[in-house]
Order: sequence, then C-alpha cells, then structure tokens
Amino acid sequence: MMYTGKEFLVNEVGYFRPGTLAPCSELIAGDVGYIAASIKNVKDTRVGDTVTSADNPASEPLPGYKKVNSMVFCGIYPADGSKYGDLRDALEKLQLNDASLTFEPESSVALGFGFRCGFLGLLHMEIIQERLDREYDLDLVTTAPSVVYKITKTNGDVIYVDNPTNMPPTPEIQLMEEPIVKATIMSPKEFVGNVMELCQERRGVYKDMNYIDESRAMLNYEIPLNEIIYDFFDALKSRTKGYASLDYELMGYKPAKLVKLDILINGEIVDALSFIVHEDKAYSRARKMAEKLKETIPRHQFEIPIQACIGGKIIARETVKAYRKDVLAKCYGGDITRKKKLLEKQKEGKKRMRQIGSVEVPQEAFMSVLKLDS
Amino acid sequence: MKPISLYIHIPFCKSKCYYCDFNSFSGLENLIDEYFEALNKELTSYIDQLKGYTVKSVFFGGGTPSYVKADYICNFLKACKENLDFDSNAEITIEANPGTLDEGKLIKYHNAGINRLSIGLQACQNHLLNEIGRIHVLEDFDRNLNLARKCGFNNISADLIFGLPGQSFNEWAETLDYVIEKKLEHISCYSLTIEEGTVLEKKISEGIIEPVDEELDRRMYHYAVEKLKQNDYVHYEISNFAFKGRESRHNIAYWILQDYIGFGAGAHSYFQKRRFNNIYDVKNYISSLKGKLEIIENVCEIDKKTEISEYIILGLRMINGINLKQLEEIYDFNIYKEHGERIKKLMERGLLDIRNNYMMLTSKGLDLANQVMVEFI
Repeated sequence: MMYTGKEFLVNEVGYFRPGTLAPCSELIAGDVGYIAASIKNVKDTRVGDTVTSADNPASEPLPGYKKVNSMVFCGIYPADGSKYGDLRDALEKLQLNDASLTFEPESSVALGFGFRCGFLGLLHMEIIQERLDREYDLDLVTTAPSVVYKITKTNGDVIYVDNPTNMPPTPEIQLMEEPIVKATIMSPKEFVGNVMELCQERRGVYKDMNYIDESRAMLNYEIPLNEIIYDFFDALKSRTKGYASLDYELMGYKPAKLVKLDILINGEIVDALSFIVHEDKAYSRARKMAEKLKETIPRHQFEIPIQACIGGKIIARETVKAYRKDVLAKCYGGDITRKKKLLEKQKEGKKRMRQIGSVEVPQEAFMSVLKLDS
Repeated sequence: MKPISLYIHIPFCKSKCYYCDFNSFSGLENLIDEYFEALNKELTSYIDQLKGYTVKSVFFGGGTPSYVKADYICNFLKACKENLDFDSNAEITIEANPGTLDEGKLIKYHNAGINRLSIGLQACQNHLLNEIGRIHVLEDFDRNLNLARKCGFNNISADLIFGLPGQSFNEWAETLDYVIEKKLEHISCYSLTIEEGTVLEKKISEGIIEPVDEELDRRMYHYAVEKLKQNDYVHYEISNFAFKGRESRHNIAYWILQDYIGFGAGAHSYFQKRRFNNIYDVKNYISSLKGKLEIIENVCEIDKKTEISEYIILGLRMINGINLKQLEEIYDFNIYKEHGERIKKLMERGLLDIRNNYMMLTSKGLDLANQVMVEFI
C-alpha cells in the first residue's frame, strides 16, 4: 500500500459476480476486482490508496481520491464511558467504507471523552449515527458541534477555544474572533435570490458573482464557519431544489460579537448544551432551544425549569410541568399485552437517558437542539 | 383440578360510545346469529384442552352483551356448563348497558345461572352521558337496578368514569353519592383515558373539547378512594372497590396470573404459559371458524423471567400488593437481589412501600403506577 507503506501477503484475487466472488489467477490492466490479504488493522489501508508489488514497486502512486470537505459536524460520545474504545473502533471501521467520514478526539465535562465528527450533510450524520447504533450496538450521545474561536484576553494572552465550556468569563475577553470561510456556491440562475438571502441570514459578506454559463451562477461569500457547520448545506439545498453546490475553505479569523449561551436544566448548567452564538442571534436561539428542550425532556415528578442564559443573565425560560398521572386505569385480559408493550417502550426510552442532576434527559435532546433552524 | 376463567366477547352495540376503543361495532346485527354459532364451534375446540380444569368464573363482555337476545347468551352458557366442569360457586357475570336491559332478559339471565351484573352507569348527569355518546339516561339505570334486585341479583357492579370533559368535581361527588346510596356490592371507578381513534380523541385534537386537567382528575380519584372507604367499600385494586367478599373473582384472576380463555372476536387468553388472542375482525372470525381455519394470532410464550415480571406488575395493581415470600416460594426469586436498588429508589420517591413482606404502591404510587412498573418489566 503506497500511502500507508504497509506490506501484506496476498491470499487471493478475483472478480465480483452478482451475489458472489469469483477467484481467478490474475487481475490485469482494466480489470475491476478484489484482493484478499491478511490485513489485521483497518488503519493499514486507505480508500484511494495505490497497491503495488513489494518486490518491484511503482515509482509513484496513482493520484488518489480528493479528500472531501465535511459540511456538518457534531460531537459523538459513548453513553457509557467505558465504551470509548468500541466507539473509536466502530468509527474507524465505518470510515473504511465511507471515506467521507472524518473524526477527531474531543471531550466534554458533561459527557466525557468522545469525537468530533465531520459529515457530508445532516442526512449523512443521521445515517452514521444509526449505523453506529445498529451495526455496532453503541448507545450514543451526540451534541451540537463546536468550531475553534480565537480569543484575545485582557491580559494579552491569545487562546484558541473549541469547547464553549472553556471560554473565559466575559470581563477577561478583549477580542473574540471566529473562523471565516470563503464559500463558493454554484446555483442555477433562478435561485440566486434565495441563495443570497440565505447567506445574508447567516452573516455572510458578499464578495462577487460570476455567471459560469447562461443558466448557472457562481457566488463568492465570506461566511462565518459556525453558520455553516450544521444545517447551512441542507438549507442551501432545500432553497435551490437540490441544485446548488457548496465548496469552502478556511480563510482566517475575523472579529465578531460572540457570546456564550448556557443552558440550565433544573438550575444546573449542562455544558454539553452550551454554545457560542453571535450576539444578534442569541435571543432567538435561546428561546428556540428552551422550547425544543421543553418538548424533548420528559415530565418528572417535579417541575423542571429550563433556562437559557448569557453571562449569568437569564434570557429565556420554559418549564416542564410535573407528572400528576401515569397510570393505566383498566387492566383486564385484553389490556395486558398492550400494557406490557407500552412499559417495554418506556423502559427502552429510559435507556437513552442521560442523568443530569436529578433530571433524566434523553439523548435526542442534545441532538434536537441542532435542528432549530429551517 | 386447575382453575380457569372464561371471557366471552360480544362485539355488538347499539351505538359506539365516544371514548370506546374496544373491538365493538354498531350495525353488525345481521351477524349475531352466525357469531354465536361460531362461538359454539370455538367452545367445542377447547373441550379437550379444558379437561382437568374447573371453571371459576365466566364474564360476558363486549361491546354490549345485554344488547343481543337473552337466549343467545343463555344457550351459550348452557353449552359451557354442559361441556366443562364448573365450580359450584362460579362467579358468572354479564356486562349490561342500562339502555338495553328489561325484565325478560333479567329473568332469563338469572335462570341460566348468571349471578352477577356489571352495569355501565358511567355518570349520573344526563348531559355528561350525552356528551360521551351513551344511549341511556340516569332513569334507565335506576329502573333497571330495581328490576335486577327484584329478579334476585344480589351481586351488582356499576362502572363509573371520572375526569370526563366538562365534568365538575361536584358532579363526580354527586355520582358517588348516588351509587353509594344504592348500596351496590361493587363499584369500578375509571379515570378517563383518551384512546386513539375514538370520537373523544378527535374532538380534542380539533379543539372542540378541552382535555381534562390532571390535577382535577387526581383530586376526583383520591376523593373516591376516601369516600368509598368511609362507606364500607374495600379498595382492592387501582380502579375497583367492593364490599368485603364481593371482589370480582374474574378480574382478580387476571392480576394473579390465573389461566383464562377468551372466546370471540379479538378476545385474549392466557393459557398454559402462553398469551394469545383471536382475530379481531368479526366477519373473519365467523368465516374462519366455519372453514376450520386458525383464529389465533400473536402467540407469545411466557418464560419464567417474563412470568415473574408479570406477577409483579399485575400484582401491584392490587392494593394489598404482592406477597414477597410467596414470590420467593413459587419462583425461587429474591426480589431484593434482582431489584434491590430500584426498590430503594422507588421507595425514596415515595411510590412504593414494603410492610409485613408485602410490597405495594403507596397513595402517590397509585397515581404514577407506570413509573413503578417500568422498573420491573
């Protein structure tokens, strides 16, 4: 393998046949087939790598696949901390047949050790989560993603913060800068208006626009990365009937008026729900998050206040009412099977809960706050 | 001889009540005759399997069992008695709607050996009865009750519902006063549950009626528990109250895991460690039995672990709770070993209590019973 430099003994080569493999004695130029070898570690192979003979290697590898840009990120943590290794192995295996998945280790006070993962879109993210759950039987908690902010403190220190919980207190911050990307969007002419509207909503700065041909335009915007990371791509697709394409590259940092939005559940700050948002959008985001959480957090025996606050000041609040009644009035012969099914479902639901103080928060709650914008 | 209970489902109604999601229908009167023929065929198919069993209770439910001609009911009961071994004290109940009873039916029921009536009163205020789609008014109940007593029925139960849309606390108190004054042997008080597919659910989702406040519902429930206790009723199950010795043997069978067979369309059974039900569709039930086809579906084998969890979950519905020593003796199962932590947490939450080796729901636990049961499933 020319990229990874690993050598393996080949056991078999062959072609693919419908539903089966057909071994043969050799594969020649133009063939599409498989090579079977004793490869112990998934990391020893890379999609796009060039295979050459160890005894008589080629001088240069073939040009490999271009690594795709991740559009959507999120934090993925194992519900059970001891399964960190299993999660890592699973992600490595998934990456083997899905080269567009990227991941890096990350950590959170509320959730422990996990990974920051990059996907091609929200759907890709959901699929990976489903596969991790089903194929690898992993119980996961996923969070809102983070980008890396550059903060200049009042004492002159410059720090890079990728975790909102590590953001220093407001009085200590002299300047906050956020990563900006140069975004190139190609769109059919008729949707240019929609695209410009979307970019403006996401604090994009218009740079220029060219017409590639009579029907398509190419727009260049400078957009803050944190406005792109989770559902910008999907919003772009939905406003252009799927025709637009997005490419971006990081171009540096620009100052921005950013604040840290904290979420308190039953009076306790939940660090995994904190995030950094532009001042102008803080209030509406806070309200939406509080509303979303109110819908996702189940009722408990006590009232649960959900508060969103910035710098200690509460700017939005919702309340989850306490349970008064959770009982089956009638339970006769025909009700028993149905009742058992309901209880089993309730039990499954409990498994997907994270204990935050005395409140059980479903794993979906951490994810649901991602899907706030349309 | 092993105990067995029989449930017979009569899916015919004059009209469907707005809260009902049972397997019952109006407008199928033309099928009644064939249905009872089918029931007989089903009975025949069980005769061999029920050798060695003694029938402890029979329950005609539905639908509206009192809607069909009394002869149908009485002939079927006769067939059961002729082919199965009956306990001399077997409790035989028929559910009745106050709008469908008359003296003729009552006399026939009594002569056939039916010794218990369960009458769906629901509420005393005619405007509430109308709002939930009942076909009777209070006066019908009153008249039928007197007739029933006259015909010699001394074990009568009334069904009541609280938490009805538009029902005030005082109206509920009035209803309780009314039944208490009638000195019925057994009273069931059900908290209204809005089921999918019912008229009430539709009305609520369309905003025509408001769902009932949970706080009020619980107030009504606990008021009933207190009031009935003060009037010599034993609160023996979450929703059931009776004079001492008049507890429904048939219903208790469900909660103590006694075997029962359900006859009729959509009827459920628990027999020889298996749970299963008959097909729901009435026409299909009839034609399948005619064609000697299978009518049973959803067979579920109950293994020991499942049986134990059912023992706990159903047993907790009884106010006295479950006998932990008996649980250990029957299943060689120490509940503390398996569920010690959970029990401790539930007790801390004030939902569960253990006294004299009995584990039962507390008063608060009655309101949140599902929260307790989910821990044991």
